[in-house]
Amino acid sequence: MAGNLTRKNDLNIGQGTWVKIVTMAGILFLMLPLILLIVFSFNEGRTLTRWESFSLKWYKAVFSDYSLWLSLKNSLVIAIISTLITTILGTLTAILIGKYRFKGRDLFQNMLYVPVILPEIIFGVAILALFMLIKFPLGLISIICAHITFSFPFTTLIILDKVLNMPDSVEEASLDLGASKWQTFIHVGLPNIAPGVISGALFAFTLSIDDFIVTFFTAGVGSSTLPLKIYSLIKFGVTPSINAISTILIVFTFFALLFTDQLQKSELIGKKVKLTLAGVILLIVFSLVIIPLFSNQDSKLNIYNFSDYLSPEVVKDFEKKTGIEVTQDYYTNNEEMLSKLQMGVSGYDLIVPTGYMVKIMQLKGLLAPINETNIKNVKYINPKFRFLPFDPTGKYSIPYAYGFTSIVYNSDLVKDTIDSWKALWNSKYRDNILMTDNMLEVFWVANRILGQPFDTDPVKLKKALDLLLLQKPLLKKYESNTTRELMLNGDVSIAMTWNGLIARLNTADPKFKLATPKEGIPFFVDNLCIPAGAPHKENAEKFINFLIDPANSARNIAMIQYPMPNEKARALLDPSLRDNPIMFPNLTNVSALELIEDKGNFNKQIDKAWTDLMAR
Amino acid sequence: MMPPAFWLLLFFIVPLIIVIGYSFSMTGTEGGIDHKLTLEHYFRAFNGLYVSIFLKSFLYALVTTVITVTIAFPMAYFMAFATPRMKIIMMFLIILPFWTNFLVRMYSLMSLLGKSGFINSILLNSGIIEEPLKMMNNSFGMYVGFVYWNLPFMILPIFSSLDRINISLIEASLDLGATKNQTFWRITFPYSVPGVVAGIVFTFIPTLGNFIIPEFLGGPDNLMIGNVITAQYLEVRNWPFGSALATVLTMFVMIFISIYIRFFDPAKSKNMVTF
Repeated sequence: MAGNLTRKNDLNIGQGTWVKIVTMAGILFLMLPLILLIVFSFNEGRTLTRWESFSLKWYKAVFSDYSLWLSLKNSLVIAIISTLITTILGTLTAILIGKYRFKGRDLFQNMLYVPVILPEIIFGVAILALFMLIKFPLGLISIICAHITFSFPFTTLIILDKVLNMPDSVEEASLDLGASKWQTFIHVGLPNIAPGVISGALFAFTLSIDDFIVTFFTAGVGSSTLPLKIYSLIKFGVTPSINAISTILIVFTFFALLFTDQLQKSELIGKKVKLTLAGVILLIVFSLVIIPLFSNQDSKLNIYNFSDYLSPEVVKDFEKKTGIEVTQDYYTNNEEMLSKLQMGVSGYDLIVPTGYMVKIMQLKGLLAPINETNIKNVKYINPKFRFLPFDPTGKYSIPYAYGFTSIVYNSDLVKDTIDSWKALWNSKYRDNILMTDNMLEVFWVANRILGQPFDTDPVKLKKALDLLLLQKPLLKKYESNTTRELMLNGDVSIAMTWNGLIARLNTADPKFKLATPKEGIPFFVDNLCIPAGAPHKENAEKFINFLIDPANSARNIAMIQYPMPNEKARALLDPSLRDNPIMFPNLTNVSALELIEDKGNFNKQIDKAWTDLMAR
Repeated sequence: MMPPAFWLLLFFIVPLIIVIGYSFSMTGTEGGIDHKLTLEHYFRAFNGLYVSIFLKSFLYALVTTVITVTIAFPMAYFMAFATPRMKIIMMFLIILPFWTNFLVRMYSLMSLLGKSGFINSILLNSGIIEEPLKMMNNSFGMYVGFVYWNLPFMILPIFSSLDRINISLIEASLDLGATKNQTFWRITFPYSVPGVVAGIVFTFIPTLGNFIIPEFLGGPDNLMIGNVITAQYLEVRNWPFGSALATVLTMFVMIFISIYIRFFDPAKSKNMVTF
């Protein structure tokens, strides 16, 4: 980084007014979000826009959130191991290219630029395709392989810069003076390129710990990294704990860099101490990876669920009572979960698909029949919710929670009576309307307004698309994930969303009201299912039984704010929840409560119409 | 014989070949791959709808790159001629965003730009505006996200090129009667070109493939090719079509890279970001 200035810049080059203004503005632009992040991590309230009062409660929340720490641990393990291998590979490659002439050298060097430059998404898709084809289980190891692959070209190029800058004469002198090749490498070559190796390693570490896209495609059972966790937190009602953990990480990185810098400079600390330190760090990391492999494999349970859809306290009690260790991963929608299982992510014992997905998965042989004799508490489940068309025998699913998609509006801003889906087409609310990004539900609503059934007729689909294209200019966006924040911050005033979210919004502020459109509302039932080949099927059954026990169910409802088909549990609820018309609405006045079903091969057509809608 | 080359072959080249293979396969019922040869996905990819999404993505990436280079150049220019102490401070501030997860930064931008976000509430409270400005969930918000994300990747290579200028060169030019403008265009600017080009590559291509920023900060119109590819893989489960789109995108990028390597051999100009 040292410049080549041979003299002072007394000409004031690059210090003109405009240059200074742009620089200041640019730095401010870069810093502002970070400052906001840090400041609001100490805010009492939930929003990131209004300062309430100083509080450390989000830090407390971070320290008590076990899954957050687990994901941080995964991130660190992945980053450290991939950095180590990357640095070794990178150093080798840089020396090879820099110091030797061999056939295909230019090709090889040019090939290195490709991963550096190719959009990450293509690499993510491609490496996933490889793992799928060779049936390599997705998990920590697949992520590490992927991270090494995308960071090693960067590291190589950084080290190569130093290798090319090192004069050959230095090494020649060492060899002439009788040192062996190996000695020359250790005592002359390595120290010369060391700064490059360190920069390269730091770069690899940064790339790995920050990576989202490639990890998103290659993650499997129990390998959620911090970015994946943050993604799901943002998707499902983010809390300022994200600010808190980010602040902790910034401070930690700062001290880590300061420490390495001091370590490098310090002459007092001998090589042996440095080596021991490195060894200790390595040992810790490897034990973090290895020890879980030897722990008792039988007393485990891997759950794959929507984020924020299961009470951590209930899980903790289950662990305490049975000694079974529960690991949870999260998906953002049914399709993502299906794709992951189809791609060969195995090892999950319990999943929570929505009705239509139960049918798809069962047809594809992805579900295992549930042994009902292990689930005594099934008697508490309201029979109206079992044996629904998606699983008429009830063999593959136990209903977990149910709900419906409806309209929520901010009654301070929306004064009309909302009783129809057409309200979402009202130009009065231009830029303040939000639709979900669930294509089946969006097309369902359009079909309902047109008074036609949502079936596999392309003409009807076209009509529905035309209606949606009329609506599009009025919309804020199609989005299901940040609905809560957008409503709370006043970015939208009327939104299509799920009842659990409406219940939470209403609890936060009663001005958020539920409207039930007269055309009918889509209804969904989420189910507890066991994937075929689940390694701990009996534990999953034990857990299902535990979960639908009325007392546990009641606690769970209170946390997730979605109703469950368990009358006894409802009776145990606090009256404010039990009689909450949003959570348990009187649905008799809604003419059509419809379970949306999978459209099979017609999905392709719907997807094309959906992409068309998005792209215009 | 060469583990690094082998690694690259196994985990990079082979996967790309698999994707190309998938792109010529039929889609199985309910997702999956049916190993029968077809060109239907390419016919579909070159249908007007997807071509327009490709073009739109190019446009977004292009505009982002232009804005980013416009902001980054003066910053790098200032930094290259600043005092050593200032250089270190600037370097620290520029890499600071890297210490925060990309998604968190985007989330923080959302709270900055929202209707009742930080900027709007300051402007409203001070009476400068009466109606909140619409800065998010539209193209503006998306560009802010892209520029924020790319700015450090643009500043650092430009800085590292400009930092090599020996000030005596500039002084000589001025002494010999060139104007400040001439000196800038004849001396300083040529020095910066490798850095600018590297910065453009590091901005343009990742922007082209990004799908998170349009999702978080963009509006209903801001659909990019990355969103479509992701949806094909993770939602619609039409892997062959997703692969065909990915293959087309790869081809474009390859053409771009080969032009880049031909005219600006990055190894010779040494413009890699070094910390």
